[in-house]
Amino acid sequence: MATLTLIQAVNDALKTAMRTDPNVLVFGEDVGPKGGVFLATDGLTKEFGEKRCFDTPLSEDGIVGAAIGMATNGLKPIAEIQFQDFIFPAFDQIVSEAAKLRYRSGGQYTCPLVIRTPYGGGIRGGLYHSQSGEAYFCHTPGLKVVIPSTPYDAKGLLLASIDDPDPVLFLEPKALYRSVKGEVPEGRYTVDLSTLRTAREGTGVTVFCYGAMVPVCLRAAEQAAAKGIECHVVDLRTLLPLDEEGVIDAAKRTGRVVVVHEAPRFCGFGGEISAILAENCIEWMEAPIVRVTGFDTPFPNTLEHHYMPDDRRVLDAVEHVWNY
Amino acid sequence: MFSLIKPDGAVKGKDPKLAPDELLHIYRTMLRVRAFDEVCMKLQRSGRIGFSIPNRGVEATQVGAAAALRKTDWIFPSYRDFGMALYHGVTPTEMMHTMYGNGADCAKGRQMPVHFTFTDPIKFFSISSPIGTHIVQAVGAAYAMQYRKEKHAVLASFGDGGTSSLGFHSGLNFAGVWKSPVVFLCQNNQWAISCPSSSQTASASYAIKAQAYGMPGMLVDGNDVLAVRQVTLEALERARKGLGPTLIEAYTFRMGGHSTSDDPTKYVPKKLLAEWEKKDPVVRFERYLAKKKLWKQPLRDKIYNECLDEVGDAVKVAESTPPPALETIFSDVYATVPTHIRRQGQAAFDLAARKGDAAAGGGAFPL
Amino acid sequence: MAKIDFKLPDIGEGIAEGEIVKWLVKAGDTVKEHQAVVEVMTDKATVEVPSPAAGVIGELRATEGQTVPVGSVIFTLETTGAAPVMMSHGGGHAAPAKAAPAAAPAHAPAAAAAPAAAGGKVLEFKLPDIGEGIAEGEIVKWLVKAGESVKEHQAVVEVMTDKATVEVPSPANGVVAELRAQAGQTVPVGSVIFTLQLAGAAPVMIAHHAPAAAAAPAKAAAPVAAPAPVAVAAASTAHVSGLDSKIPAVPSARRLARELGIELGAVAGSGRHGVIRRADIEAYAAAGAPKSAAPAPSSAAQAAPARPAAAPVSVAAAGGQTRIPFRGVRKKISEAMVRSKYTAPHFTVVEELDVTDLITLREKAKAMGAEVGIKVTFMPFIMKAVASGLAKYPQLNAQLDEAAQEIVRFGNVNLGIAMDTDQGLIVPIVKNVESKSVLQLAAELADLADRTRAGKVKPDELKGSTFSISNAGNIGGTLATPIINFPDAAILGVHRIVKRPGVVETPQGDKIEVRQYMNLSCSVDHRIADGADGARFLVHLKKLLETPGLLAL
Repeated sequence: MATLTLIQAVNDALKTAMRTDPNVLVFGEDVGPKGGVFLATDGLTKEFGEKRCFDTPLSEDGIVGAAIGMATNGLKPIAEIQFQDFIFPAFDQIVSEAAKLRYRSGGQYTCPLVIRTPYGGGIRGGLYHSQSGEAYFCHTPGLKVVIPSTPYDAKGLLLASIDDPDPVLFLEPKALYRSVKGEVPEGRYTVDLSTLRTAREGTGVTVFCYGAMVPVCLRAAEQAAAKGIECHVVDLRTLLPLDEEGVIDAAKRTGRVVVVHEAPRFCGFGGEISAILAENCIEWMEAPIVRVTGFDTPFPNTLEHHYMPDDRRVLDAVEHVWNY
Repeated sequence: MFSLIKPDGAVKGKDPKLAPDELLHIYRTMLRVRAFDEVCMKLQRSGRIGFSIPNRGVEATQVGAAAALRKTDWIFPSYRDFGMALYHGVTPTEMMHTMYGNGADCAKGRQMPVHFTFTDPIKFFSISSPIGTHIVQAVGAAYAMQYRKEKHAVLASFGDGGTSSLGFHSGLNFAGVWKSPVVFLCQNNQWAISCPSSSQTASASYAIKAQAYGMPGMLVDGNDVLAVRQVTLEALERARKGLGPTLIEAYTFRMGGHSTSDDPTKYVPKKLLAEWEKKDPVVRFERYLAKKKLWKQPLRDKIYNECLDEVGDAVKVAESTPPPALETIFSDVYATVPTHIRRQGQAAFDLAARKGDAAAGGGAFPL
Repeated sequence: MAKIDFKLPDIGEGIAEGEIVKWLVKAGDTVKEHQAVVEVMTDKATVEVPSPAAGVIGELRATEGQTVPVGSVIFTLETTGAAPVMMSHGGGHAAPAKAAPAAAPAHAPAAAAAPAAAGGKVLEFKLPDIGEGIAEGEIVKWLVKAGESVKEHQAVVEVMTDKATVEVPSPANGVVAELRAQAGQTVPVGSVIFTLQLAGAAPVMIAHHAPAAAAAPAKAAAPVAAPAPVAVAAASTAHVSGLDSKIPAVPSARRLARELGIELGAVAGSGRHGVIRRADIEAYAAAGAPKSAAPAPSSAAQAAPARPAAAPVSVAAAGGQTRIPFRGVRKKISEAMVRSKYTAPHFTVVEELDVTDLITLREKAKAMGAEVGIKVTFMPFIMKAVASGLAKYPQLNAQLDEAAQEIVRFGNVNLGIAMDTDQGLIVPIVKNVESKSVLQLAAELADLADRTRAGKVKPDELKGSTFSISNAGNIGGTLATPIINFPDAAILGVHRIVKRPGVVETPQGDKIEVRQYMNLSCSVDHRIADGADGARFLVHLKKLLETPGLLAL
């Protein structure tokens, strides 16, 4: 078993998939000889050649559009969008086309593709290298949205996404690319989509999170434990389709819920969790369901550390619901 | 490919006969770009700023194009065009504030470095990271000029990679139909991060794409500052006469990496780099100036050192300026601050106050 | 001149570590600003790292070939000039060591903080208790700004309490430094609302003693505003919907209160702003009666069972068992019954009634009731009889006020009618039975039963009984010894009607006929009344119900 960073685990997953299935292709901007701006695709062109791992012109809509076409015709494309902030020219292709193809064709045409993209803040990337846009895509039926937070999950979930017959948007928390290391088994394995992961067991307060917020919440949980509050930290992993039962059970376990995400608050994913809990288990709630989120502003550069939820803000929310 | 200055500095064709002041201003600007660049790279590598984008090798395209513009024209720049701002009077200090993202930054520290935005002395439109989005916006701004029957024009600048974007297609298409007073400047430095031009398009050139959109396309030697200026000037004159847009391809080479996060030695052949080193745009212009008896080596040293000092001073000012105030996260989202944002701002101030953070000021959200 | 520890910076987005390839200087070397000091390899690039300032290299803290994390010190430098400003690891620039330059940035922190003037203490002005025992006030309007000079007694701010809106004056001459509360914000008495740079001596202020209630306020924020991320929390606690729409309670508390038939209004909330928590309901149920405090004086809470504490029963786990958690309503009933049975010494008297004529009457009454849409059972007749009996024997329509050591006899008869529902045993109450007709009682009873089974009974319909009736007769059993609905004095059990051959006295002598019989049992709290009372009460009921025409008297 190797200890890999999250980005290495992604690379490992891509290699594994490409070794086992000749229909798997990887393409995007700078993914070929350069190996990607974060080195996610390092070594792929060398091992698999230019027909299987290659650079495209600077055109996100082209990348996704072409991927859709490939997917409908027997290939399994893994498209990289260099930063999630740049995905919007491709929004039409993703939302209007990839997400709706199976439905509108009565299942005659399907779209088994994966779009991988680094998302989220924490690297001083300012407005356009830090966005967390998962909410736009979770609002799109037909699409799957997956976000790993550990190297083990990154490889397992990516391999599962590649196997998945539906279009998957695989959002990689760039802040964790190199700052998180973990044991990753060699060879093929998958982590099921639509299953949450309990990152820390507890009976006091349930904290729902994903991506780069998972380590933040775990740190806050340690601090909470020192104050006698045991947090149950849940890494959602797949936002769409969500493990709703798992979410409801985890919430009922403590009756006190905090949801944490970097993305802005209004119409953020935290709202969906709150609504699900309010509809299904409000009578188990001992306190309001609280969200700790980025602000409803664009993502600032210099003041990034004020913007992103940190362990202090999470701890404040945990204490608030605990003492309610 | 159009050029004016031969490698040895002699003029090919018609000398534009610019006044010595103007020539030296062009020259100084190119050196200022180089100095600013050099210092910023070092600032980034020593951890004093977070990011920078090298401009080495493309000084002539930026400054040449800028030299053709009037101060009443608008520039829709790429992030590798700050030489245009310098040419028209933006100071290194103002730019350094943006590089530091401090409280004096006109964008209030919100953007990554090099994403400049200036309204004076010239309209240097706010740079965003997505590629090509500004190209079609430039056409809109030009439309307003047409609407008001002004004689102004717009320069939209982008790289070879930018021609693959949706904005390029929409922009040139609209401009062709509307006969917009826009000059589209494609700075073909032959690399889009690691993607070589040959993988970017199958067209014989970028200039040739102009035909598809119903406008003239001109290919110019991007390392020849006077040639770039000439061609841009002609295109601007067409635009001001109501004859519509032009696409200019300035053929040059990116001598540095894409950014401080990029290592070009991994994909740029050494041989190619060495070839283009010989075509250094600053050196070529020096040879031209020398032939005009306006230049000797000591002048370069003098001016370059002045530029370095200028940038050094800018660094001192910028680094001693405090960071932007906490409320700048919450202002300018809208014209006025709505309730839900005000609430979040107050919460941020409360938290900062409880943490004992000086950013909290008095603890009350001041907007 | 400064000594700086140079930390490996994040050279490219998100780099976590770098390998020292080659030192380009040694300890003791003089370096210029921007001079390359070391070659570092990251997985994106190999770069030269320059010195941030001119100076002399102190120590090299990493060796060639070593991989170091971003942020660790790799060399030290003794600068010849001022220390350079480095980006703080993980975000933005720290505020520079020097004071802000004369060219004040256009977007400096807003006027909230005035610069400290030369000399003079800073007084933190706390919101005083403006009217006897005021706990908090709402800032209506600031009459001054930060930086403004004020005189002693000059009005500084308008504050609204629930007694009055007042102007709060400055206690001394000085310059307002910071305003620490916003217009519209409610702040507790004792929290700092502004600071004042004093021009002269500090005034003597009354020491403030915080009231015993809520959480201690954070320095600059009212409870409304803290903790930071939950900015809307306070506003939302007021907007709860439900039966008790004006009583804030968390959802889990409402559920439990409903299950236990506890009225929220009777429960003190220990949450913020008096919100009732689940723990409060649990505490209330454990400590108090199953029904809440009646209008009539009732016994104060305690009276623990007088049994000696024994070791709890433990059942060894084995196959074939089904284990059901002993909690919720079941547990509450258990606690209530234990309390009743072990506080009130019960005795039970029983009487057998010939209800043949009552049945005949009821059939006729049922028909009459049907004409006006009222369902008539036996219960209204029994209730009427009970009311009559309690008028004659008021010692059974009573409670023992243990605190006052008084037996309280009630002037009216409120009958608790025990009902078995999905939620368990619920005892809604029909009030003032003595003044209602049988038909009225029938209608009220039917309505109450429907609503009780639907879980829609109002809380005030669950409290205030003076006597209770338990009718298990329709389920089964000819006799029982009911447990009193504590703290009533007594309870009447109504049992099944059975047909039996009976002896009827006629002028022609005794005859055998088929008759219908029903037992009534009455359990009484022997602290309050005696066996004879219970017996006589039942005799009275028998007289009325065997000849039901007498109920009209």
